[in-house]
Amino acid sequence: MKKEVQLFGMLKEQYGSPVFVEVSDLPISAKELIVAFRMQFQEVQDLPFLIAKNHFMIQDVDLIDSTDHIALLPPVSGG
Amino acid sequence: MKTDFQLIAHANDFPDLEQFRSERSGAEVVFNGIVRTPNKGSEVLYLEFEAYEALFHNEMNRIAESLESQFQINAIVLHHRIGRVLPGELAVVAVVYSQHRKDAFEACEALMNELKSTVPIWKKEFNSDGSFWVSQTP
Repeated sequence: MKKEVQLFGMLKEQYGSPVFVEVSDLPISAKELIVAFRMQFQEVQDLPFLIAKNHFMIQDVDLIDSTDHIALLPPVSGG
Repeated sequence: MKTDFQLIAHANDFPDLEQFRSERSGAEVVFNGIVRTPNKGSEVLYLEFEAYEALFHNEMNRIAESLESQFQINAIVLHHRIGRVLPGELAVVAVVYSQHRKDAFEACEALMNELKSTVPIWKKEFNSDGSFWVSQTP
């Protein structure tokens, strides 16, 4: 199945937004989604991400389900 | 505590700070972040800012709660430009109001540190040698 993921910054420029990430099942952890994203988009292996669910930051262990709005955030640089 | 967090598209949209002043606040600390040139030896033509607006507001509210637990604060204001910003223009205005200057100075510095750590804003620098996404954290 595919999970829709919104991208920003350099990720959005490179891949567009949203993208659809192949996952084996839902729900999955945020960490598992990032692993799946890295497998599909291998040019970003070394880029650290933050991840947001329903417009709030979440941690690696938090679960993501089919109805959740998900965004992957490359390194921020405000200011 | 009064808060005002905004993403703004034009330089003349920055706030009139008079609305946040009160007789309870003896200190108003303002940080103005300005686009500078040169940067790392290249002439900066402009910066392009992008933000994730819903998360921006949620993160700013979280940061405000955290700062309020650490400092005596009466009001926090943060307005950040999005879109194209030229050298010499304001990119961000951060303001903290407190009863005394120590809390206002320290809270304003902490606010800017948090902004650069987790607030979902990204900038791309366009300079005389090309362009690149600026990466600070994580």
